[in-house]
Amino acid sequence: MALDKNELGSRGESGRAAGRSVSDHQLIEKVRGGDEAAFGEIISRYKNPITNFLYRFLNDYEEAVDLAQETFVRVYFALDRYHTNYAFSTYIYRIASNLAISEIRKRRRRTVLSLTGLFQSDEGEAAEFQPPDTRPLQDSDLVEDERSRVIAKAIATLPPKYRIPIILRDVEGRSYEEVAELMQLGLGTTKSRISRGRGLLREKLIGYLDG
Amino acid sequence: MEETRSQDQEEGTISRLLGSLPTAEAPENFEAMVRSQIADRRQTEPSGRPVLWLALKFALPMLLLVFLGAFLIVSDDSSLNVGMVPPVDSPGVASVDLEEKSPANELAVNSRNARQQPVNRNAEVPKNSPSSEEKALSQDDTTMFPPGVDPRRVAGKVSAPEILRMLGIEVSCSNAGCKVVSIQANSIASKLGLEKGDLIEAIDGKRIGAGSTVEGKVSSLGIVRAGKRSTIALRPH
Repeated sequence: MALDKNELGSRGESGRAAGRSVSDHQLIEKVRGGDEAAFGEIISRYKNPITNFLYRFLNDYEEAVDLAQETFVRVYFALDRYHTNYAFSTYIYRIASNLAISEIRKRRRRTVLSLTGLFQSDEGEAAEFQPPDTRPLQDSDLVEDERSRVIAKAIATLPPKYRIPIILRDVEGRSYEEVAELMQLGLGTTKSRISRGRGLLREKLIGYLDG
Repeated sequence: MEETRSQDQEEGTISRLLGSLPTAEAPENFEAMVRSQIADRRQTEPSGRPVLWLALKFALPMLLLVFLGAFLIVSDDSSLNVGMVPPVDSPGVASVDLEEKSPANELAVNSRNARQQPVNRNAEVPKNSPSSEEKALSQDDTTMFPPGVDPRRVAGKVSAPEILRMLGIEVSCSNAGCKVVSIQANSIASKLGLEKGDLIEAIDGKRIGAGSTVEGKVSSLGIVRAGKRSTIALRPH
């Protein structure tokens, strides 16, 4: 199943994608031919979506930028081995996902579990419980910021197998088919995981859903 | 039905909530940083690929080829030795010892006089002298064979008929031993004085029979001829 091989279909990217005259695969061929500027074009196309994806996954902007840079470096050195049978967007998101999962594992090894505020999440994975802060705030911007912060934190507590599809689908706005291809899962399993992830988020964000 | 609808609505709400999150953007110098990292790695890895990957791609196949070549050479060498028939006029068999001969009659014949000088098989062995079998066994390290035929070089165990064939003896083996069916002319066996009908019951003091194997090394043969036991030793010229 080859999806959208040339363009990004995510939220905020479709407009720019429509105006692109050169596909991702054409750019890759140029890079393979030694055209460094073509790689610059690839970076400019994907740097924001990848950074945002990693930021929502890790909930740490600095770390997200570092890993996004690492993603592009790996893409650059692996371009010779890249097969154009797959959408480039799928390929680069997969690299970013793998890096993010590795980072989560490293953090888990480093983490000294807090004595308070811990519970066992789905499938025995330790996660931090963040109760919603429902105290009223006067300024609407502050309320918005606070809400975003809590939502971001709630996403970051999801197990990776739910977190990745939720971010790709609901934050990045990708289609179920794209998410399924990226995760190398069936469409039904992907939908099920997204639904399950939303259910877990609903439990964490119950106070904000009412408001 | 309503429960499902409610769940769909809640999922929709969650989806909208997540969709409303502000988008994080890469910093201004993002591309410069990426290019800088690429340049750094190019310096450490000129090809841009991990050294380990290169090693696996090239060194491993080379290593396998070397092992394969070495294996073929060794196996060729072994098969030549095992299959080699003693050449005509080979000078390798130096002497023949018989258990029942006296020291005075001990023969130290080379390949030229082996046929001319018959073995006195009826001579008695003095009681106080070491047996010829022991003497033969003590000479393991210097046992000689014709050029190209050296059972000592045969790696691992070899079947008894196979090693006897290398000496020019065709045998038929049973549990009692291996009976000589024929002797190749001008072979080691013919120079040792072996005859058709002899029963070879031991190699290097160990009894042999159908299915026996030896360590690819022969220093002496224990034979029975006309009901009498004797030992034929192969020793250096």
